Amino acid sequence: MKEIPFFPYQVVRELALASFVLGVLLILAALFPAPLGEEAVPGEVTAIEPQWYLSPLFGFLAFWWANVSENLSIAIALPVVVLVIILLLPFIDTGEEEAAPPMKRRAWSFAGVVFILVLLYLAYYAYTANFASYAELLP
Amino acid sequence: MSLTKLIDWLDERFEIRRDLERALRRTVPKQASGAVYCLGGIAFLAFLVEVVTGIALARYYQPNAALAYESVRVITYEVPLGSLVRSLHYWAGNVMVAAVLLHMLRVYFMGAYRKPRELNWVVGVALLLLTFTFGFSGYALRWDVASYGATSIMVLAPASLPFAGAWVMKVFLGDVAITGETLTRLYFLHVFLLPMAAFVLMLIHFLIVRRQGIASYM
Repeated sequence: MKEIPFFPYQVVRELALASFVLGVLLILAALFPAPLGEEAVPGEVTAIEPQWYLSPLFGFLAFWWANVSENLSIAIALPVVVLVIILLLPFIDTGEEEAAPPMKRRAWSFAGVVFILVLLYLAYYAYTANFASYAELLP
Repeated sequence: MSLTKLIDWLDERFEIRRDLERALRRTVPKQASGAVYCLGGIAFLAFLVEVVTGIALARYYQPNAALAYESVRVITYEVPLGSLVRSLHYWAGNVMVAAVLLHMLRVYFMGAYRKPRELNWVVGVALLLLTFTFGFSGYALRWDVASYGATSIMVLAPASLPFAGAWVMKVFLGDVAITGETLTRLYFLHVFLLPMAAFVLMLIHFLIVRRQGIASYM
């Protein structure tokens, strides 16, 4: 495998990329300021907007409530189980090579794509679910 | 003073020259400058932006239910450059989560978590959880209607679990409802516990990469 010296080649590349990313962050911050809504009233839930990366989780809870059961115990336990499986992945997929192209690991790649599609659907569900379907989740 | 003289001065005292030369002369696989390998680095860079802007925001933010929202409003509309710093913190946080997720997908689809890199995958998943917890706790600090509702679900859903659910939430967040107590604890989590844990885990993550090199199938 071809090697290149860390200094100066890799260092210059990294600095160039870092400058670019910092520039993008500054432009985003200047053009799209962080939002700030009305002040919360403790004890009163009148709006629920999960962050985009937590929306599959919220979607899953709302989906479970609407379509499966009003008992949330399993719905809360299931993401934990999925997380443990992800955590233990290297001990489940014990392939010989230390890495392989996605097309050589078809089953794993397929499972990954399906998992992403499920998360996207749940995120979509979270954004389209009406507020009432969340408020009912509160005890 | 020229750079060479500065290094000489330091070398006389700490004998750094040999280690410095070895560090700079190291080679890296050319493959590692490919586009998909920059994601972890971008996540780290975004984290550094979070540290700097977070320290600036902490000088004005009030982790108290009665004052929190007002202090965010003051940061946004009255403090010079306050809105820019807050928006940078907001955007760098989102970019960090996105970069961490894409980095994870890269490692997953290449199977780069396989032997001998099992443990670094485990550390990486822990860092993903830390990143999510950073986002969740930081969002709660805003204390506006939308973030309050989302935080309520995240805290109250686990509290509805049978047996220990309510007790665990009470221990960790002070109450089974979202009160000022919860806000103060999430603040402590966001600005102290999580950064400490993140620094340690990132150091381990990077040292392991340094020792094992980057997985390759070429």
